Amino acid sequence: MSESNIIIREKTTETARFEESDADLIRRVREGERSAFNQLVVKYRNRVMGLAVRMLGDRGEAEDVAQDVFVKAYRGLSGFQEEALFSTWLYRIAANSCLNHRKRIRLQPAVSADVSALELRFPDMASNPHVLLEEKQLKLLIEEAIQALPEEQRIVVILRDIEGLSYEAIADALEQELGTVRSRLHRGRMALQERLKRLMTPEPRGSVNV
Amino acid sequence: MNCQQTRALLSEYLDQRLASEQSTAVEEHAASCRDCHEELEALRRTVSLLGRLDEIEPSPGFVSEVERKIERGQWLSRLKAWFLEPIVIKVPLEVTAITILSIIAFQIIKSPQREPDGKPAAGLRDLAKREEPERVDPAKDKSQPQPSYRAAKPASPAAPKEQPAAIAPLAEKKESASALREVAPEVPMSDIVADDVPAYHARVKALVAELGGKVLREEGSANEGLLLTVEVPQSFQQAFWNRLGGRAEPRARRDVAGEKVVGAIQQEQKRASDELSGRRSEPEPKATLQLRILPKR
Repeated sequence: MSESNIIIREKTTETARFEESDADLIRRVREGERSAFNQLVVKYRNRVMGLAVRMLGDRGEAEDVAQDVFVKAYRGLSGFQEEALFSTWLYRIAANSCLNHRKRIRLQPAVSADVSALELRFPDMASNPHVLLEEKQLKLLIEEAIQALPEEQRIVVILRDIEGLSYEAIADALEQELGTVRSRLHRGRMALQERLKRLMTPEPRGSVNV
Repeated sequence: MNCQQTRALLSEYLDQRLASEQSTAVEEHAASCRDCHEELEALRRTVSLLGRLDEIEPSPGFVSEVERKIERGQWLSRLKAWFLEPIVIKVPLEVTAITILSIIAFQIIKSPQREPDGKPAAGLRDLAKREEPERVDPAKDKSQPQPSYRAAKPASPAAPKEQPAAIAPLAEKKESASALREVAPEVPMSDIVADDVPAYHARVKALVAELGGKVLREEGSANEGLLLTVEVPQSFQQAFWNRLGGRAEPRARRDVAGEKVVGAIQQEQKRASDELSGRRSEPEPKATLQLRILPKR
């Protein structure tokens, strides 16, 4: 075996490890390799965090809940069925955690605080300030509109249009009928669009009932 | 397809979840209806904007905080195991063990006295009204001969002549282990297993009379056993026990106890003589003794 072949093989192994599937990572965790779970946390932390912030409207609480989601996932990993998708399972834990947290503290959406919290996290956007400002404003507006959605529509819209889950995966994660997911998504989108339309009108912001 | 029907399908149309004929119908309606067309495009922009929303990153210490929480949870689980498992598993075991030991101890302490043949003499326990019986070690008594009646097991009247009259040798016999018995704190007591309870009863009464004592109480029956409470002059107490287990004739005795009996009888005869002659003397203190005569079964 030549030296170049060895190098190629090492690179292939590295690439394979970099692209390691959830199933492989889970197997390693089950074999006692804790660091493999950290890779899963890194891979999914933004998605869980996004769901938590948009569902709870408070960054600090969201971060705490998101951490707990991963702790629950770690503890429940032994009961995780191999044939299921880890992401769907994780979203189920996250959705339940957020909804339970809201029930527990009876958190009311505090729109202005939410949006400012989100705004702080937006990365810098490149060169044309006018276009970027418009995009940034639009995003803030729609984040605001999301916060105003009823909880059951909001979570479906987040999972479908922000996180990109299929209807079936959402039904699985939320343990709902497919028809329920379909109707809640449609009503949520239409409500968002209506709200966005009103927010984008040149009326003074004070008249907007958010 | 009208506007209302079309708008109900716009969301699924955008997600390409409609059957081809429904999808075509929506497109045809939107092409001919300006309002529905604008609605479709607005919805498309909204969904597109949602898809472009930025990821929300947690703080930099997120992963390590998750690790810390997992560690803490495991530590708490271990702590819980350390503290709770002994409570759940060990404590019931300990409680069970203590309960069993207590029951055994209670049974040993409270068990009815057994005769060498192993039969309990429960009925007589009640007669004797011994609430807190004392257990006496014969070996210990051997080194402490006074009061020797505590460990004494007077020989069975069935074979009185084969049994030595002295009490201490009896305590050395193997059967003396079963002579662990209840004794009242104040009233000396002994058990006798007799083939013929009435005959032995008569013999005891005769002995008591001979020693100048009297029978205070007779309880029980010949079938179940008799409890006799007798009173004898204190100096004859030892002689009473000795003669129950040995020869009836005190004069034939050559041991110390026998000599005492002889001396005591002479003393008693002298006192009786004095009384007859009108001279008063101090009456000798009496000793109360108890004797159980058990039928041999």
